[in-house]
Amino acid sequence: MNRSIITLLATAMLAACSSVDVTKTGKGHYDPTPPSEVEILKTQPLNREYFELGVVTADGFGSSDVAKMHNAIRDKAADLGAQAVIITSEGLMPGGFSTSRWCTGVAIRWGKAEF
Amino acid sequence: MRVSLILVLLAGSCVSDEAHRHYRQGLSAKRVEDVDVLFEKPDRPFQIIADFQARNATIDYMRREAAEVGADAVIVSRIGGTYDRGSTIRTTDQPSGFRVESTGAVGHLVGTAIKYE
Repeated sequence: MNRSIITLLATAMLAACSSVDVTKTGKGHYDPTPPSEVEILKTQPLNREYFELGVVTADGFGSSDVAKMHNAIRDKAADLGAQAVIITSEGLMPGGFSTSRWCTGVAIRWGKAEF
Repeated sequence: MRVSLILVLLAGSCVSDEAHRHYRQGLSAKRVEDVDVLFEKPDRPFQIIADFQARNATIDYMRREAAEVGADAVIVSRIGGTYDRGSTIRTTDQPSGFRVESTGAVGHLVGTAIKYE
């Protein structure tokens, strides 16, 4: 019984820990984009003009939940009007119960800034 | 009475990580009720006069800040927040073909103060 309660509490704690922090660095407002249209890039686009909207930090994801973390980034960066997020660093963080995945990136929009 | 006062003071001091950028100075402040709250860009032409950003802020907070700088409206968005790891991704609910169920909105509230042309 005690073990079941501990397992339940641990699961609840892990389920609530994933987050994506977005800080706006650009100027002005861009309407939200559909999350499914936000590209996840691991390399800097060299042949296409873009400007930065903000910085993104994701943490608390399962160590193998790479795609889920990317979808969370899409969802939260889309609110800023991002059309892509360039992942600048990524890693694993050992924790008390399990290892979690984190990453940081830059939310961008293609073309020139409107403001 | 003393507990209520402490709770009120704590509630008022919860806004953090405030970062405002003012692009135009010298406009007279307006009444808060005269500032429109928008959640997307308006169809009419406008100029941006300030950007606001803060954690634990409310829409009223953004409206007050916009009124202080003399804005006609403030465009508000919430960015970042918690994400439910138990969410499933469905592909048929939304026109975009993508849906993420997320819980909580602990991230930043951002507001862009505008002046109609």
